[in-house]
Amino acid sequence: MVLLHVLFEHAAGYALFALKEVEEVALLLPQVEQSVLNVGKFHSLVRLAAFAPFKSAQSALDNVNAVSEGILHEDLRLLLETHMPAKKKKALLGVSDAKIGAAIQEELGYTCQTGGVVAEIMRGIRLHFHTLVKGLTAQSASKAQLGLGHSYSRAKVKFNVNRVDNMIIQSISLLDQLDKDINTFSMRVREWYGYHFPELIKIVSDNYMYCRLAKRIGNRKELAEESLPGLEEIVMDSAKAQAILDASRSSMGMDISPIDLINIESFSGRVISLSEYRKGLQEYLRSKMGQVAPSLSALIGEVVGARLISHAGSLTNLAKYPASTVQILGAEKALFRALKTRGNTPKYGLIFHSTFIGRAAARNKGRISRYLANKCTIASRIDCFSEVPTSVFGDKLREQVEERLAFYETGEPPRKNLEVMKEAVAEATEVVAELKKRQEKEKKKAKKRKQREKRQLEALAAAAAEEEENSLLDMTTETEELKTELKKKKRKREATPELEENGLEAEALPRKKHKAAIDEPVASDKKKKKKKKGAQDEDED
Amino acid sequence: MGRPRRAPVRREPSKPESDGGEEPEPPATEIFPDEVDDFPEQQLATVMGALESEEEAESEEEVLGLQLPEESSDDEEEKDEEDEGEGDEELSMQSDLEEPDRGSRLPHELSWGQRKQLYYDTDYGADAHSKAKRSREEVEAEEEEEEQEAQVIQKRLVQNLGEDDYGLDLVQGYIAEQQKAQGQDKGQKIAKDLQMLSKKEQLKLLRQESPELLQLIGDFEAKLAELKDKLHPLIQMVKNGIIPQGKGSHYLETKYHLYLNYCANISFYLVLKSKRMPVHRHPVIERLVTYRNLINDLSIVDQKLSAEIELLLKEFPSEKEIAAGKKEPTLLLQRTACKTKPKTLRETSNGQAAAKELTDDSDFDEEAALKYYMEMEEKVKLKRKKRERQNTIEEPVLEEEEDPNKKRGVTYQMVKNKGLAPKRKKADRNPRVKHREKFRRAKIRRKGQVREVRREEQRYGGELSGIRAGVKKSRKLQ
Amino acid sequence: MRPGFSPRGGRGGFGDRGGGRGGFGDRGGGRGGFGDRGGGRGGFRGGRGGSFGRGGGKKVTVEPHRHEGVFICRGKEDALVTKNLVPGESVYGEKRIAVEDGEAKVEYRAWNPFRSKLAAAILGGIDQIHIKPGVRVLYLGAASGTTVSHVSDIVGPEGLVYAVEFSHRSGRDLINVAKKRTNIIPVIEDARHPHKYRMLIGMVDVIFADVAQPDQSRIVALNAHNFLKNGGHFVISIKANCIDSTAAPEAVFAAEVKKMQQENMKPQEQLTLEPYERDHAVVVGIYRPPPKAKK
Repeated sequence: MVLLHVLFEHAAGYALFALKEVEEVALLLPQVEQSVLNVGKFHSLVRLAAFAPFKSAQSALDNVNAVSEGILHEDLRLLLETHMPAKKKKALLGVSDAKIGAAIQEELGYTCQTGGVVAEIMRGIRLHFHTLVKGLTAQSASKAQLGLGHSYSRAKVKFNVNRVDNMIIQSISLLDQLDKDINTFSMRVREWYGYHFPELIKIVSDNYMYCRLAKRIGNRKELAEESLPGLEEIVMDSAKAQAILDASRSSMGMDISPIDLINIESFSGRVISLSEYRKGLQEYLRSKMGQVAPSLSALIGEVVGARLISHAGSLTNLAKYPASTVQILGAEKALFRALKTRGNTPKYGLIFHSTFIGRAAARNKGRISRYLANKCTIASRIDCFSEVPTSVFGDKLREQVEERLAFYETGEPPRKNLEVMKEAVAEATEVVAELKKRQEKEKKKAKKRKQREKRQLEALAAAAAEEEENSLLDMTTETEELKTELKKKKRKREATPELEENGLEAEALPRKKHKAAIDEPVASDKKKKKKKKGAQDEDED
Repeated sequence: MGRPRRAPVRREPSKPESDGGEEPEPPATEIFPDEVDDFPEQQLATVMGALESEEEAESEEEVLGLQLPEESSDDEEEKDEEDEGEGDEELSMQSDLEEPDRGSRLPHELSWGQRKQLYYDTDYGADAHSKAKRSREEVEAEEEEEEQEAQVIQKRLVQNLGEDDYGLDLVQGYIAEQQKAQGQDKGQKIAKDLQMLSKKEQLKLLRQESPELLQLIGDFEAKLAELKDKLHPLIQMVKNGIIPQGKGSHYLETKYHLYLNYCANISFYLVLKSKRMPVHRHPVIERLVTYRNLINDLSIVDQKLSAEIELLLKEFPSEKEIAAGKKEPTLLLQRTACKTKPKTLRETSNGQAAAKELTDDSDFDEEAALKYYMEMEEKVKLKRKKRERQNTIEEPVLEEEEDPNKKRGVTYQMVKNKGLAPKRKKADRNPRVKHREKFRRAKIRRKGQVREVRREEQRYGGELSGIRAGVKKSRKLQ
Repeated sequence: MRPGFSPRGGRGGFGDRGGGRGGFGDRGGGRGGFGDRGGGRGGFRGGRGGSFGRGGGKKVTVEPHRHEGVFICRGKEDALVTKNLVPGESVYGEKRIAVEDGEAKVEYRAWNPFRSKLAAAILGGIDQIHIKPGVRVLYLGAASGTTVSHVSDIVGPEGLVYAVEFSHRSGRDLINVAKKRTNIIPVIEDARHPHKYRMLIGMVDVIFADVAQPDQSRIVALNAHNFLKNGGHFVISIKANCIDSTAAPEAVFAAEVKKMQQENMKPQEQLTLEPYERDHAVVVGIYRPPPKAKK
């Protein structure tokens, strides 16, 4: 009598099934074949022994990786140990993969079998899984598969979340919209406040400044000499501030009640916050472009680059376009009109907004535009398909465009493309190598830190136990402090590995080195350096 | 109005002026006036002169009239003077103003003036205003004048009217046409009606109209039949001499002639009828009656001799057969009609004839139809036979040989002496060409079996020749 | 700057290009100006794609094909189309056709038979593709997801497409496509080892294989044993050149069919993909056919 169990791995979790007892395993085969289609029969043949769902997406991903490699994961081990019968000699485990069967046999001692009946049973289980496991519907099962499939695939192709260009496309469109809205709102504020203080509209032309002034001034009658410095601070011009003061005295605007004033103030406050948000968004866009397409942003600037990517639909699409298309991206209407009427096609589209075109003479605009489009294409392709994007190429290309411009103006011959590219390639390889080194170092350090922490914790625990008798307060506080410090360190270190994986920030490095330098003396000298470190930690926090 | 006749331009008064070479007003623009330039001035001068002249015929003012160099001014003057006296009898270029000179300086009544505005004036608009300005009396006076003028004009017009002007001849012609048309229509109407009716009704009509017509037709046919069947061969016999001269032949001849005449008369009567001429009280009717009476008289004799006639006819069947010499006529000379017999015969024949007539009347339709049918059938058969004979006759007719002894040339067949060789295609002569053709055909067939692979050179824009969803070209396995 | 397009305006004197041969050498420049912007015409394929009307805004009608989920667009030219699961998006720059269906606007995407073997098979007149709305499909050899997107359109939101592709570059494109369409599950793994991705795939109704490998029958068989239900169908595209470049294509196809039969896969029909592909064939069959009821 052999107890046959079958291990079935699913996106939702591991499942262990038990088959009804049979003398010989081979006898099962015809029964299984017949019953596979019929759910009821299958149920009679196979029953669920245990089901261990995955705790999180991350753990699911780890498990799937392990399973694909044929490695025994902790979760699987746990499941098997708990639910397989103790008598290992009698228990037979059916698995779909010989490799994992071997691993199980090696580590846990269960005899594993693959092929034959097991394969048929697996088919049946796969077909009826959602009916066998309670609390799992077909939809949820497929959703689990979808999620896990995506994460597994992305991990495989090293799908870098930070290198996704969606954010750029969304940010740039949001930026445009924000501009429009801020403008509209500012106009509204002007009109509104203008009832009360019309002269201010003419004195101050900037929207942002006006809103701030409106908020600051409030009721113009309350303006006095004291408020002059405040005004100056906003306007940045003493003459203007004086003018405002004067105007407020002799203003012909109507009076305004406090309630209305409150309304205006709150509205202008919102406009101010929006403007500030817009600035922040621009910064964010800049940083994103630096991460996603550094060469392109180095060449033509972040905004134009973002617009190009947005227009093309994605960085990959932009990279796939020929240079001639990149040149007239954004001027499609003019292009097709010209093609239809056999007129002259446009010379530049979105590219026009880069600085180079503006600097060129009228007769050279077309040439520069073409040249720039060619370089943009190169830059975008480098960004899209390189493993580690750098801005080296972008800088070199930019130099080339500058040289070309100079050539048109002065006649100075530019460098050969071949040379420039050689330089660029050399530099790029250097940079990439450095970055890779740093990455490896980071990883190593992360490991070391982890180990160290472990040891420290153990040491602490031991020390705590020893010195318990001595001075409770002191040690406990110290240990607590240490613990908190260690915890903080841990948190930091957990954060940094993520940073390492994603983007490479050179700024992070010196900080870490500094930290590492500090780490050693900690154990020896607790108090002083604790404080220092405490201060630093606070700063860093 | 009569045809306008242009009056010659009065040159006389103007000529002396022009001869003088003086222009009334030299144009300011031209310093050296030319003949050409002077022309319009001359014209003006002539007109002005004509206006001022006192001669009546010249009162007609022609602005650009015909210049007739043939007629000199003197002649014109003379002619005019003559015309004055004689009137409009000569066909000369004369005005149709016939009235004599009134001796006034006023232009003629019928002539038009130089300014058309005078004549295109109305009682409305501007003129009405001007009229309103004037006094009522003036207006009334004007209106009276107008009325008088209108009356004068009317009188003149009435005088000019002639017989033709009333257009009566047109009316007459129209009436004549109408009558004709009506008559035709009537005839047509009748014909239509006749066709509409059925045969029986038509016959009824006929009987009502001319009852004798049907009888006559029947009689006509009967007599003709008799003529053909009996009398004609008998007469032939008489001519041939088979029947000797005597009373019998005399009788036969009489009968023959009678019948013929009767038929002729009937045919004439039919002709009259067909032409729709009224046959009532036509002498032909009388003739027909007399003939019929005579034939009735003869009928007695007919009855007596009928048996003999039949015998004769049997023994002497037809002319053709006689000519062929198949049968020999036997003479039955003894059977000759006596004078007494004709009388009795006549009586009996009368009754027979009467009986015949009676039967004819009742069975007219069916017998006539049958006879007609039989006749047509025979005709058709004859036609077919004739056609066949013609066809068979024609072929040998074409193969005419002028001279059978003429020397005939050698033919291609003889020269080449190919014998019974099969006809081979030209492509078979040259195997290369044959294979080339075979390959071309094979490629075409192959295109039908399998599609040629094409690459995507143009951006894919769809299937040019359409998509048929229902067609399945896959090969089934097992 | 681009040279002037026509010399007539610029120079008086000769009114025809031919007349200028003698004196001026602007021929080259003039002709160079012609094809200048031609590249732009073909360029607009990416994410936005072309939504050009077919034949310049003419009326087209869309009617269903014999195969469920596939449509035919009839206009100046006929084309195979599928209903777009994500309206407004073009996956590989294909033409989109918007048709008024009562009140709602339905969008269809044109299917290029030169790019897709499945479309070539449908146009060639295959009897059954077995891919219809609501089925689960295992797609081996998904590449950049061009045909996978059409299969996803056909199976609709109820169906599922497990797209397996080994190449990383194509895999990235595939993941991008799968991001937009939730009924595609991308699996970047070697199809030769189905046990590696067994956790991600459930039982499927149809396997479509376009792997272009010499041992593709074995690959399909392995996957079928693991994932294809009893009575499920398979559609395999065979490239004769890839399997055996020296043998005749018909022989190659016959050999493949035989291999399939040995693996308990029963081929039912075969079709060559002329005129779109050379020496390609599509074989459709059934796996573990249900035993026929004896009458």
